[in-house]
Amino acid sequence: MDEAGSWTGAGDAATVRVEAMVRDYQVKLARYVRRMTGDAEAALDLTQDVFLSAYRMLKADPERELTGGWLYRAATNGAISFLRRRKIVRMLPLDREVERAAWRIDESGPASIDLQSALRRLPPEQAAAVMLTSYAGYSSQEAAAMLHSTPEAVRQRVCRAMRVLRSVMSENESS
Amino acid sequence: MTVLNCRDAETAAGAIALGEATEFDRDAYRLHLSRCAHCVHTLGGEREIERTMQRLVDARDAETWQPSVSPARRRARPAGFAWGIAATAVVVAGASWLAIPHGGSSSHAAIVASASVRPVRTVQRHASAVAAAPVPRRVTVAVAPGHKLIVVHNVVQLSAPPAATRRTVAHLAAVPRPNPPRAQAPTSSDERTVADTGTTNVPQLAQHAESLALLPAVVRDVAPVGGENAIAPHPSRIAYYENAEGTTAIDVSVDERGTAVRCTVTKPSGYLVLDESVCSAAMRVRYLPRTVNGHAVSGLYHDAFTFHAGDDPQP
Repeated sequence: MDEAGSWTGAGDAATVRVEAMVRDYQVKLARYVRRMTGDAEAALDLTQDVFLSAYRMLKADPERELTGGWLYRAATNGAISFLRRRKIVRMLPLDREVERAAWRIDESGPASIDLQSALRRLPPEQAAAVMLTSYAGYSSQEAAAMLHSTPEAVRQRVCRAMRVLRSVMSENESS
Repeated sequence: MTVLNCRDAETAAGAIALGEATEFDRDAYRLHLSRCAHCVHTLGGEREIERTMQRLVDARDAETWQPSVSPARRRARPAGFAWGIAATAVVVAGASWLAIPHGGSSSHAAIVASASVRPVRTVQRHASAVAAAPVPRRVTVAVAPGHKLIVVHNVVQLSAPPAATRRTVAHLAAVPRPNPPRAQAPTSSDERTVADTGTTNVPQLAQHAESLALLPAVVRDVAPVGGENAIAPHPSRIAYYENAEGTTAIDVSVDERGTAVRCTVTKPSGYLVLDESVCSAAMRVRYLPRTVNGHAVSGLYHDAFTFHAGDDPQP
């Protein structure tokens, strides 16, 4: 991989594998991180970091098995770190109205707004649980492995996240 | 059949949401709901859970964003990042500059001599002064002998109330009032602040009394818990040495739970440290939310602080 802009520079095994991962996962992963962080630019940065980490790992150990689950776990950890860092560094929350004005058409639908509003209110661990399962399509067992938790805890987090999402939906419907 | 407690019911609801629940789990969940009104309200029935999940799936399916991640992608930073770095650099540079022992350039020596202060000692004095006395309406913070920063707290109405509020007030104004309150005359510092900001000053006592007389139980505006003095800005020490002066007017958005969610500087003082200290203080405070007919709603809290360097005429 050359730093000039291509994932296919050197042509070694690690590059080929990372290239395949980027092709298969970049859209799904970036969308997932964007939902987690609420920030498209940060999502692109974090997704890029995940693939770079995968590349370095494969460069060091070409036999290592890297799955989509590993990518999601790394992305989740990156997103949670980003949210914690933002909480410390930025004392003033983002301007919701300005943000909404910058949203694209596919983000401004009622379902999308409900989901993003709910995710804002959730602790990062609950948001990760609901996004890994309902959004990314992993089972509670797989999500538990990614989050270093138990399937029961993941289901509970999903249930609590659902409660918030439901309250947001009812608020928006009533308004 | 297994009898679930409320905690297990949460797990079962999660399993239903994820489509992982067996018929046995569903039966147990239904049985629990038939006996627990609290869980009916908080968790909802199976159809409700599935409807909520469908909303999430709809949001996912509606997405059309096709991002491209390449190593050459220019990394973006938040809008305020550069300013944050610059401000941090200025503060750090200023602090380290002042901490350098005397004997540098002549201008440096002159500034340190005019401050006539040993940094560590003055920080402690400042902290003890703050801790010893409650913050009055007019505050003088002495960071060093001969260096004082006077903070004047003003309540400033920066804009006309929203249309909905105006309608409510107009409607209720027809109700006869037995004793209309008298407005309190603004002080000279209030007037100067108002002149600086180009806004209308509403003396707080009069505003409060009028709202009580006009709107007995209809509208209550946002107010900080602990009164207006609950917001106590403490600017960074560099403000004292810079003789920073000015008026910072802010709008604080307060949600229906009384939490400050956003602070907007509507009139900057010209010194970032002053503006940031006001916003930081305003964001730390809890608020009584605005209520309309007894229901808490989100609202705006307007406030302004004037900082003067020099001696306090009314200590």
